[in-house]
Amino acid sequence: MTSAAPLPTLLVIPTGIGCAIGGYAGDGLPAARLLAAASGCLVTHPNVMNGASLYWSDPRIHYVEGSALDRFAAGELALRPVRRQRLGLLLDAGIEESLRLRHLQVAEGCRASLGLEIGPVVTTDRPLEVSLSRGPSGMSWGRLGQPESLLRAGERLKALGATAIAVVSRFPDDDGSEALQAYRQGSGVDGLAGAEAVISHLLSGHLGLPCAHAPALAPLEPDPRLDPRAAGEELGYTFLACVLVGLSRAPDLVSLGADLERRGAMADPGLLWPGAIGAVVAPAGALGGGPCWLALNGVFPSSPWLTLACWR
Amino acid sequence: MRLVPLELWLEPVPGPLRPQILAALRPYGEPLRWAITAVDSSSDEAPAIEGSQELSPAPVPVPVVGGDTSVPQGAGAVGLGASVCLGARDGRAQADQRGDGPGRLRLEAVMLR
Repeated sequence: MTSAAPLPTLLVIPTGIGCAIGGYAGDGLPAARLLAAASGCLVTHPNVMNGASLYWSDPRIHYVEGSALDRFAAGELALRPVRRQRLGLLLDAGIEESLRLRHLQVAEGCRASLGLEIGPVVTTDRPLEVSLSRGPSGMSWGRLGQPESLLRAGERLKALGATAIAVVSRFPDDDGSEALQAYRQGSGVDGLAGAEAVISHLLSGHLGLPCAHAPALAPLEPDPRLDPRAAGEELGYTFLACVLVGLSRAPDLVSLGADLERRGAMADPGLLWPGAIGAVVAPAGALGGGPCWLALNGVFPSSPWLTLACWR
Repeated sequence: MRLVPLELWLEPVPGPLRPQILAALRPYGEPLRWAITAVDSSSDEAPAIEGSQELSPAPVPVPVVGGDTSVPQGAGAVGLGASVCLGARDGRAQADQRGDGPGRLRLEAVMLR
């Protein structure tokens, strides 16, 4: 008996808007695993896969940073699956020494126990000064006081041979706001996620490399009413392990911008092309981002049987 | 280089939406992150781009709805032809539109300048 050919599928769960599935700590993973098993090929983004200390590695799942996912959906990028990436670790100078040590030890643990190739470590030349806010709809947002410093550190990592970059920046601690309590108890918005997305979008767009972000935060007091979907964030001192694992096999981003690039890419039989995507899956009520609109408006560069599926 | 949050209302015209969104955002910088977060189908005379506003960086409390802290409206708008439903968490239909396309769209974006 032969199995059906893979149906490359795009799973998009927007970050920081309070999705009931996928809006917490890697709680989109069961859906991603199911879709990967059913489709044979799933392209999704860190918000779906990252569960802080929890993660799942599956060669059928392609871990693509959100802005790169947008460009892939728009036909501007193809993906080249790789066996491994050489991970650069970018640390915010604003992280205090003890928390920095925790993160370095997570990296060392991932190298020793998981065999990941973790290469250069670079610290920004200034604290990145992350601040958090909310948009009019309630979606989480953030700002970066020193974006140039982030980009300079990323450029150094790339020059040192990193092929994918994990960023850790110091986020403001929350001493127990109502919004944080709601999130931990399963009825709120991830207040960090919007800023994380901005940081990884900025860096990935600038360098053309796979990137993902982990926030550095002081540990929270235990909450007996913790929602299981948020529990992945309570297991350790950092959110870095999932990012390193996800990036370790993230596909290369192959620009299709210029004719020459496109011709070169067409000669590469191993590429996953945006036109191969046969289905886009997203939560109902969360179709306001780029890939879903491309699908809805018929401009997604895909086969004519593209399906957009939602769950409620 | 600065990161600037932006709210912008757009009245789309027929045709692919993404280029219209990107064109509407372009004067404000490079969009790092954007989403359509609400649809206002009540207005039928809005100009192509009605207005925009840079938003305060200060944290905005999320309204409490029914005891839950939730995205109140339209975080992640759904546009499926004639039907528009808003609300990220529960997918409730909070606005229905019948006609030839969505009404004014609220874009929320973080721009790089």
